[in-house]
Amino acid sequence: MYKFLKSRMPFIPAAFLAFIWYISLIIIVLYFSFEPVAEFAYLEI
Amino acid sequence: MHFLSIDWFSWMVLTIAFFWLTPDRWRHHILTLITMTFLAIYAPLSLVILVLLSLTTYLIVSTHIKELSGIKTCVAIVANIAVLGYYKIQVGSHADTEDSLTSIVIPLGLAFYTLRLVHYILEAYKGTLPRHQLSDFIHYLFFFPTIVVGPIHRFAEFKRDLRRHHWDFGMIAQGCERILYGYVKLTFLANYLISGVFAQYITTCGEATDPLVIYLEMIRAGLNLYMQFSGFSDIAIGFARILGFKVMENFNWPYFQKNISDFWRCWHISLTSWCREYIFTTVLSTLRSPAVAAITTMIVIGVWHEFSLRFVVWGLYHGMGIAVWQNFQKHKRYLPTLPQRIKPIIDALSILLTLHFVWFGFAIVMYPTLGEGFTAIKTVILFWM
Repeated sequence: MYKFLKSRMPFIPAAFLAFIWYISLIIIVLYFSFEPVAEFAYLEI
Repeated sequence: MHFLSIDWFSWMVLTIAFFWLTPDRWRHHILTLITMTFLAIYAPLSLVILVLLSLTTYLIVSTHIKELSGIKTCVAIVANIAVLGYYKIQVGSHADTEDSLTSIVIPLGLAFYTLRLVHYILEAYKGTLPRHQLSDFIHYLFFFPTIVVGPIHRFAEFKRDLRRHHWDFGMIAQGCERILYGYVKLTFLANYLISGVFAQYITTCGEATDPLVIYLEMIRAGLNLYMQFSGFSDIAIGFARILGFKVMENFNWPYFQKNISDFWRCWHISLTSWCREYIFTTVLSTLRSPAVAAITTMIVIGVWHEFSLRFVVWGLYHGMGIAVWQNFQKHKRYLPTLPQRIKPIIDALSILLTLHFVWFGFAIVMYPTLGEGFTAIKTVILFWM
């Protein structure tokens, strides 16, 4: 994402937006990591 | 062990730390040792099988690294396939019945490292293996990021990365980003949205035998499998990238493909390319029939998943789908040329048709028995009855 943003805008806004993007994803992962784990057949293949 | 567990995350972080803190010449030995320790703790049987198969294969292949004879190739392949076949038949014999109390479990990663071993043997037979030592071969098979669910990476590329790999901040950043996307797919998209919110919504749509519920359940199974598997692959690929290895991709937007042939080029790429290289090409060059080659390849892919009637039927279903598509391609020129402006509509309909073909295929294998799968498909197709 940072590379994508960097190709379209100057360093500071690109770095800022990328930071927001990654932090949001980390928060999403941490928040939803307590959900029940769904089945995944490939682990027993 | 699930990739979402804190245990797996700890293994990943500690492996990365040990790998980069170890002097260069010991680095790969440490990585192999970590994999062995991991298998010894969580899947000791898998460790024993992998060690035995690795040594047997290397002993057969190493003496004829430039020109492996046909008989030795067959012996080496049969030795590897026999172990996988034994477990597949044991598990599969319970799959078509409603007996779910089977205690037979396939050793962790067996289906994946067997294909790596067969790839190694066949490349030795073709004489295309790069010059290497036993340690390179062991590092390849005991590569921690791909040991659990692939991708089924290739020896030549691995050997190249083994020689060239170095601390590269760009690769490490890419790896971290990839792992993060993998976790987003697993936790938010697969577990929360698809298996939580969407599954909850399906239960409000009616009885379990209603056509709409069965149809939505098919879609849910298809989306869940894709998100889970591509999430796992992202984590494995990202993990490998942090260690300085570029492992092959496993998915490339399969649900946006316009025909079944393209779908299989973009779904579980490391498996389908393996099958295309070693099964499709072999059958095609022997029988000169693309349709038979496609059907054989898809049945092998089905049996690789599970040795049962429902997966044979599933493979046949996809193989026939590809054969029909191949024939359609041959006769396409007789069709009238459509105006350019309706091309987006045709493309959208093609994607939708491919999606439904794949999702109906999931219905064949998502129920415990083949009969139940067919009943579900019949219920959806004849929804008005």
